[in-house]
Amino acid sequence: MKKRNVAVVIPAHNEEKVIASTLHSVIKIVPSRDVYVIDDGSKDKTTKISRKFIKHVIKINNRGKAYALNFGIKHYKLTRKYDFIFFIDADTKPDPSFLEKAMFRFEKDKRKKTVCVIGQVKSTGNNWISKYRQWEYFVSHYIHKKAQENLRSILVAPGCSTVYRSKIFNKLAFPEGTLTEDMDFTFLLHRHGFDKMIFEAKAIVRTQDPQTLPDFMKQIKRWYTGFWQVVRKHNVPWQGQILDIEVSMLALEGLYNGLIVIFFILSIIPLVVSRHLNIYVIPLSIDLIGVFMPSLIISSIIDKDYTRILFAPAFYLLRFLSSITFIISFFSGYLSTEKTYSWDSNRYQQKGAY
Amino acid sequence: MALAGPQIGGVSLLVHIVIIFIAKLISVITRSFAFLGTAAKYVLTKH
Repeated sequence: MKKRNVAVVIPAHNEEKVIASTLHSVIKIVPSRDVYVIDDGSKDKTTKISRKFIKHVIKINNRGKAYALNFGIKHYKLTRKYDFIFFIDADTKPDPSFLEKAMFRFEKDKRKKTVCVIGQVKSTGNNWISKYRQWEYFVSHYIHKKAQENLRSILVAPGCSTVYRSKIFNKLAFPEGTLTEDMDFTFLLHRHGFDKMIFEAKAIVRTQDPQTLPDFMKQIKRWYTGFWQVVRKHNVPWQGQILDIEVSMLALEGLYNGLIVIFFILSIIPLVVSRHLNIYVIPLSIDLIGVFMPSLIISSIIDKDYTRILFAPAFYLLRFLSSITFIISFFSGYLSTEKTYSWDSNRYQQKGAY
Repeated sequence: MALAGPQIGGVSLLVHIVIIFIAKLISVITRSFAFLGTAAKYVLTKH
């Protein structure tokens, strides 16, 4: 059988608000015959809407995203039919040049060691939470991920923006039982020695971010719990890979930032009573002046979104909440052995969407 | 998923910026040697 080039796989669960818009974008970059929607037990019109755009739509019983992805790969025999598989979320749209940019990186690798190419994620929203997320994306992509690529220790190949060499799925499958199957799979790749992952900033996808504070909190709780679950599952930091050092550094940094917040809260009462600065404000000041503001200003300049700077106080509140959530999630993620299956399904109909 | 928020801190930023800088430096040095090699080859074959 002659292999076709790229299959696009979209796992879906109650995506009727967004699936049409996503499919409309996807069929601009690949023929519709190469697009596959795996509907994981939606109770809405996801399947019906998808069938208006593409032929390959299958509905299965709700078993979680990892199961749906593995089912789709097996059911449609994608590793036999295609050289590459691009996984994208139902609320995420690739830019028209996404595949061209991503595939160029595979083509440059003559030894075919690159297991996946990761695109850059941008936010479609324009409210303060989306702007905060843009800052996070900026730092995590341009600094963390770029450095991790050089160290071969990329922490997560996001489920919404990664193209894989298909043959990898003859050997491995998306692991089930954690809240972040994409990070779980990335760690699995590392543990099996498939550590050459490339980040391509010019390959862009645009995703929906939470539009309200409760949705934001729900999402980060899920992400951070998933992070700790994966850390525990893959026995970090005891496996002796560079990944272990990288993850440990970031985890400790996250915990430290959580402690800064606690220190700050502790400092408020003495500060108000004595009206004198106390020792607790020092770590916060260093973080604010040395890390947060410079990175926010640089990200605003590079992304040409200067309004971002005006939101700095609100962003710092989100950073507070994130940091505390990171510590709380340690208990639900690392210390709990309960297996979890969940979908991130706060979807928003966009104005002017297809 | 994207992990960033609480993990954006001074130490990891500094470490990663240094790594990116070193990687760029190695890349520039490698390219320079490759260029010099090509130039030397050209000069030797032409003369």
